[in-house]
Amino acid sequence: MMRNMTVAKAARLLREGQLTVSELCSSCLAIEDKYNAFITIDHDKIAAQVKASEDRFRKGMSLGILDGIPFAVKDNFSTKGIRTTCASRALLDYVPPFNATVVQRLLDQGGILIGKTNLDEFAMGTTNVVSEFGPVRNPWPMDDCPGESKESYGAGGSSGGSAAAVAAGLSLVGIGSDTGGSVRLPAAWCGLTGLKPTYGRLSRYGLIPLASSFDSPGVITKTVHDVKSVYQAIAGHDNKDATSSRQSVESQDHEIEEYGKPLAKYTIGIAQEHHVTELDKEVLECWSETIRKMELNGAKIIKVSLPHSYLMLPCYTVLTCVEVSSNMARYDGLRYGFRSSTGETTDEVYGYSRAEGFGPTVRRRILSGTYFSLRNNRHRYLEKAQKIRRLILDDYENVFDSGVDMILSPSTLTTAALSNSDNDMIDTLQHDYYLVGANLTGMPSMAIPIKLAKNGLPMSMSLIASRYQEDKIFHAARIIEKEFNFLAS
Amino acid sequence: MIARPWIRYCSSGNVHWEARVGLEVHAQINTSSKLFSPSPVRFYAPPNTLVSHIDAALPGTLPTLNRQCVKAGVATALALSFKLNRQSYFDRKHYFYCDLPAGYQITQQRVPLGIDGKLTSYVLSPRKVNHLIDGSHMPRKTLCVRLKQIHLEQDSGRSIYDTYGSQTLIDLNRAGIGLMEIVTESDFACGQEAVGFVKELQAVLQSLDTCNGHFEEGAIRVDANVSINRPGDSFGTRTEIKNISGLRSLGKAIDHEIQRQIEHVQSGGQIIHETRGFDEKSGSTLRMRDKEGRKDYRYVPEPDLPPLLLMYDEDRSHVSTDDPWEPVNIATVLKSMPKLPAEIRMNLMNSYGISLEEAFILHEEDGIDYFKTIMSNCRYGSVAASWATTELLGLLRRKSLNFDLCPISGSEFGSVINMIGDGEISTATAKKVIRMIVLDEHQMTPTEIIAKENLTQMNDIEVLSKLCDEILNSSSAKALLKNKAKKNPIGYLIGQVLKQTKGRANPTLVNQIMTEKVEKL
Repeated sequence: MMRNMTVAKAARLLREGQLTVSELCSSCLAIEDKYNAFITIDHDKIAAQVKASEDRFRKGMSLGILDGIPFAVKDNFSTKGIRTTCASRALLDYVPPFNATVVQRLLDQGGILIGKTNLDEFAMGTTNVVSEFGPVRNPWPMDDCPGESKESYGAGGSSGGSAAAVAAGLSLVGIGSDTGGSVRLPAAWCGLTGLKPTYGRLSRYGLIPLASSFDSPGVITKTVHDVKSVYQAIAGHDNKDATSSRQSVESQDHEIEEYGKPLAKYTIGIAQEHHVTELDKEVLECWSETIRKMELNGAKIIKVSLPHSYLMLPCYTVLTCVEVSSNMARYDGLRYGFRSSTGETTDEVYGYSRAEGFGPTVRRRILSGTYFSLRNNRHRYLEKAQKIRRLILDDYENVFDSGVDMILSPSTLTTAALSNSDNDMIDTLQHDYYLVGANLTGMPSMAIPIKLAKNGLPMSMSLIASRYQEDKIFHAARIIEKEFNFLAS
Repeated sequence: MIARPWIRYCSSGNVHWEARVGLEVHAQINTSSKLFSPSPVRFYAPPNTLVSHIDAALPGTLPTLNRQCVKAGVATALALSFKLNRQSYFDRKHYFYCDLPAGYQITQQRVPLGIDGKLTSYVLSPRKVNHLIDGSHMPRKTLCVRLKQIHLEQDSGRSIYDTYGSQTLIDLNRAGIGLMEIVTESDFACGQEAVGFVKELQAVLQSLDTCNGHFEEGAIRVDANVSINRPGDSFGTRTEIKNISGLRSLGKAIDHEIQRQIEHVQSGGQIIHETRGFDEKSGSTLRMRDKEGRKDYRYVPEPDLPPLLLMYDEDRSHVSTDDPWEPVNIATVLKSMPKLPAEIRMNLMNSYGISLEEAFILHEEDGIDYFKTIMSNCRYGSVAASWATTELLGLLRRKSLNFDLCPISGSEFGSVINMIGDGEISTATAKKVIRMIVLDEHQMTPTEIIAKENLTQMNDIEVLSKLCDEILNSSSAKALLKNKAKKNPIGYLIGQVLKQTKGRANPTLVNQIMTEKVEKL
């Protein structure tokens, strides 16, 4: 049942009384977590939430479409009274005294917090392999694929746990964080819809930061409609986050389609720099097919250029490493978190606690970031990268200013990587090639599942639009979704 | 304004040196909550009871700017004639220390709140009244101090080393309190000049109420940088002096460091750029272990805070808004600026014809309200100011009182001054009466005492003339006048008249009359 259950469908069934909240959540929890998707599941808290929700339904006082709907949260979002580990030894026993704003907003609307999901340590990674709790496995290829001994594939990172949970039916909604593709990449590899909205649309308060000027919470579900519902429920200004946008979240409902073809008013850009040799042939063909379908629906397709694309990954690497080295400075074991038993002086306590608490990826990024921001090095790395970021932003703005509504690209170069593949930092970064642009520019972007490849793994396309143009993406994505009907796979 | 001569330090080798001193002042902002978090700001509280999630740097917390702190910064900047930057930024300054929870301090490094300010301060010397230092200060020299910049930043927590338990204890109550950092140019030549500046700055901050200015509570902290050079040469290498606990320590530390540097260079040494701490007990500066580690702070822009925006809109200067995201309106702050000490003193001087010293002391001793009460019925402003700041103040001090608690009301004091000015009582009588009330705690007003004891001055020339004749006719007077060796016989004779009249005789008139009569002899 859970394979094809969506938020919209569940909400209807709950509203009509055909399903109880208890039945819904039990179905989720009944599924075996073979994928290592969850780190913490607090059954007592779930029971209390379920009861409260059922009470509301009984009294006819449901809080809305999200009441009773199970959601899973990446374990780098603070949850009050529930340990929040960031999949790291550094925070193994850390229990926050407050909820992250997006979590609170979901709870306020009756959402049932099913559990905290696995991630790459401190959200640093693209494969969800590097975690104190072990790697997350991709539910694809699904069990009903006949015969052959199946290889194990990674779920993608860093929000691998949230994606695997939704794909396997362990939850209906997955909340993740996206710094360089960490919501959209696992969504793509797990055949799901993943949205990273405009920077500032979703509050970062309570999200344990990786790179503050890149991070955005994101939503992972099975359909565009689901993503939109959840997004609208939690988006909006938060007083506690000074970088959150004050722009009102208004939705122009595109349900009522005008006469003529649904995508007639859209110009879709195809960037020449996105056509790279590393792109898997099947994914390339899938890209062409998507373009054709959009044209059939009336969209105008033109070629565009993002000339500084080749600089995106290096620029992203330098800037995020610098922000990481800054954001990680607070983990010293004095007020919370792991504290080493070695060391007597302040420097020693700090040094050992951090060396033993952080995994190698985290340590590498901290040291790199420190290096890039040293007085003697900044002009060559940090300051240069800041300038290049501006150039990359200009690339996208030039394209959108010239009349293009959205850019369509593959979400990833290939389908999901094997679980045991090499986790070299530079190589794995390639997975983010199509995705980091949205984080460098703060623009909204969504990964949409298209069809399965021959190996039984999902292929996905991405749309990116100018800031605050989420509605265009929702509209176009809906059409694509209808054309390909991935959910039937 | 007097041109500033450099103070020259001489050493035994007759080589002249110049010293250049600059100050870095950290003033705690007097708001009810901290700069980036809603925790309350209080001086006395049990440790770690004023610490919010943000102050403790819990993962995932974010700073939000306290608008009141911005207003305080703007007001202070305006009072110190800074040019305000309409757009300034926050930056992170990284170093590891146990009292810095986030591992970085949020400050303003790229573009501060204000630049290029100035403050006129005074070089003060202790005032002597009757050859005794009475505790107040006289402005001897004016100093126009250039101010490099003012910016906002977070205060750190406090760490206490517990030698008994061999551990470091951390209190984060102070972590996150807003600070205004004011940096001066190296315009001071000695400790005294620096102390005078800090005193004036304290007075400005207190009048604005943006900082209570108390050294003891840590509301204001001062670091000094000191260098020496031969006259005509460019700046020498600077050393920084930290750990200064009060105004007196500031003066001592600076002067000691200047002396140390001179001696060091004269004996062939070189000054190195280092941080030194002032040690109260030895009265000297000692090299400090660099607690902050490497001095590369790896400044990065603070990504969690947007730029600090100010606007100037006179049309909206009356609008007071609590919206934390509205830029602070400079015009609104300007409108509600209180009078600053310099203006207050100038007004006193112009309105009542008093001197700068008197205005300074009245301001420093919180005597302005009292003085204005005096002047509500007194006709002799200059005399009143002089008497209030010397005779009266001296007596109040001896009884550990101040102008607020003065047992003589302002209007009564004014009446006394009128009587002096009109010649109704002599200065000696006035002094006596004031002492009776303040020191001896007679529970009467001066007017009552003067009436009761019949102390009015004798100005009748005929009466005085007769008295003088009487004295001159006494045997002792005659003997005195015969003895030509005695100097100033007239003084003695006048004294006798005063003694006889219990001080009531007008001494000037007596002097006149007596001199005439003696000459006639």
